[in-house]
Amino acid sequence: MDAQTLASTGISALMLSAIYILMALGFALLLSVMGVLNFAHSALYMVAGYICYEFTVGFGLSGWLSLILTVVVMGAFGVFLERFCFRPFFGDTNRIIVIALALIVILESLMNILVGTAVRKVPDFISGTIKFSGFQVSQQRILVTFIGAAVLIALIILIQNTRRGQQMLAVAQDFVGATLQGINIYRTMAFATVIACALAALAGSLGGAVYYLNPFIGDQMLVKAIEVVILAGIGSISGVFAGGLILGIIDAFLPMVLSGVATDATGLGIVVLILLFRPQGLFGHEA
Amino acid sequence: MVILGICLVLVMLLMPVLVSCSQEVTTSSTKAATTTQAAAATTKAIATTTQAAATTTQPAQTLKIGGLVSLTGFASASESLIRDGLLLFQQWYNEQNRLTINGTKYNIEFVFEDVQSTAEGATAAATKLVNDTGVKFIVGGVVPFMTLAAGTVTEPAQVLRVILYTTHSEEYGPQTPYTFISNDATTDFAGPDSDYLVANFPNVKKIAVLTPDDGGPPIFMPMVQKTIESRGLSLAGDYVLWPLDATDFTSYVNKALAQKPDAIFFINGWPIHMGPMLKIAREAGFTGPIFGCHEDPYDIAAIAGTQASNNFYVHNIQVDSPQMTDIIKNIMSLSQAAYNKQSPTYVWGWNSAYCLMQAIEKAGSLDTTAVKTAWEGLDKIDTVYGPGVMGGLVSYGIKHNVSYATPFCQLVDGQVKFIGFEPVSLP
Repeated sequence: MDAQTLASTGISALMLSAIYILMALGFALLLSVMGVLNFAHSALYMVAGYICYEFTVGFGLSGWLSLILTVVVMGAFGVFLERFCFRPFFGDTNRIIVIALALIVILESLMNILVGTAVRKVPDFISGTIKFSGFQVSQQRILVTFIGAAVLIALIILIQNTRRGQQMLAVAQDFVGATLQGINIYRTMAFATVIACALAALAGSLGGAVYYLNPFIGDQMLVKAIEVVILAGIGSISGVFAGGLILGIIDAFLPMVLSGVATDATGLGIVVLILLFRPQGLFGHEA
Repeated sequence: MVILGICLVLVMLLMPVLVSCSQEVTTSSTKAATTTQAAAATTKAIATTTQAAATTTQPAQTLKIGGLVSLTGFASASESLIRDGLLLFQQWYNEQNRLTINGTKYNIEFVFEDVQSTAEGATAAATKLVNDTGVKFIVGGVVPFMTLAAGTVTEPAQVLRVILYTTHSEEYGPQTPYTFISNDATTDFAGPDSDYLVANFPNVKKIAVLTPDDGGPPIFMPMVQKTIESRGLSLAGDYVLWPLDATDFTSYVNKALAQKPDAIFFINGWPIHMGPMLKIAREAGFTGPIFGCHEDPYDIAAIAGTQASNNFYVHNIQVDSPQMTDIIKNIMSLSQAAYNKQSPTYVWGWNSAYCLMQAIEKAGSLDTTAVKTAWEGLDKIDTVYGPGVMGGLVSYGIKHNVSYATPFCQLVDGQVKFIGFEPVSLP
């Protein structure tokens, strides 16, 4: 592998990791705080991409403003999601899974009917390439990597250093205990859902610019998010960073030595292998 | 909180509507299309046709033709356009009052089933069309594994099927006597592409190949390699396979670029695959010629972006070129009126039904064996792209392949420029 290929694949690994982490963080947050397996996270990712597209192309807003507005709209949708889809079924995993699956079908079908399956793409947030030492890499991919890293750091700070973050941790550990301590668990869960949706919005908008938009783009990303969360260890937010990084590196570098569908199978095989030796995941706790 | 929640629901419901109403500016061929509007327009057009048919003296019978298209999943972005092209054909064909069998006039009506971009979906859709709807003719099938799967249902039932594309002899050949192909396909393009390279890029010697891992490459790549080498060119290395459900293609493109090729062939795929791959290759600094197969160049350019959409060649049409055939110009007018959009994929879909109906008219029968025999007896056939011939006996072991001079265009700064119709040899 020559230097150009290594550099380009390395950037790709980091960018993939960033998008995986953004997706998985939201998924992991809801799983940790509320015990919700929100499979509809994939649909939120997809819807966010279309909303960002609409702000950018339809309303002619700048990419950055569109990104922020998309995050705000999707974050606001998180309030609705928590109040009307998750809270009534809090503690009932089976029903919440059904609700999440129903949300996928509803949102995908809605987009399919209203928008159609025509190919669309969120305009590049930044175009062009950076050249250094004979290497050439996409500026947008570097940007996505930095945004992913920055958001991850911000989220860790938020959880560890703010009152609301500590409340989320408390609810995640023992919601009865948290309630007895005077924490408004519903408000805390709503806050977690808002953040999760905002993260999906960020991932969907950036993914829509790097890749393309289609009502079904979230499906594959959901698989990746679940892989990252399992790899990280159920309940581990910080483990998502390592899980996302590992999966990003696997997905970026494995195709260099393998081909086609073998890369997907081998990537999953590596994840299974890791779980054989650490069933609780990299950062999870023994049951 | 409740009021806020309700407001947010309204916002969320409003957003898709706004999206659907916005101008789709990323696709250069698009004026302001929405599926909803298009569907409404089509429904209106079909209703008009039905009304017109009802006014004729003798009530027309309806010939139902199955449509196997993916309306969900990765292939839906392109295959939904095939459906729309077939609906345009239905409208046009019924207005012509062309089909009369034993004195009975027939209108055609397409009945579509969603293949769901999967082999299981293809089998289920074909089963429903054959057993429930009872169709005797089917149009559809593009991706190899879906085509193969649908064939397991249609062939035993002797349902005559027109697939739009093929990559290898296992999905189409003597073992599928009721399957015809309406377009040139994978292996047919290697010759014209290699000729174009030799004529216009004399420094190009090594070609890298990127192709989906859909079962076809081990069968068609030896043929492609033989064709390339017959022109004094060679493969730069092993062909690079990518999974059809891949999201990020960077590593696959990097692997191809690591072979230090002078040119790249993207053999098969959809615009959602080729657009990102083109962009990645250009961003990595590759400036050499890149060839696709038959994919929609407008969608590819929309995804790849203006900067990356250069020196890219594909066997498709420029929708507004004066060099297009009259029938293509007509299809574009109809699609503009019905969908407020023009797409090469409408033409591709239309062509499959256009060829099928010629065979039925020739047979003067709705018996699939009679139609099959009549079609096999045709040496020449009209296509929307110009005069066509029936080929495939040497290449696939069965003369069921419609072949024509293939339209060829290139991307220049994101714009589609028609080069010409190139002869294709399909013995």
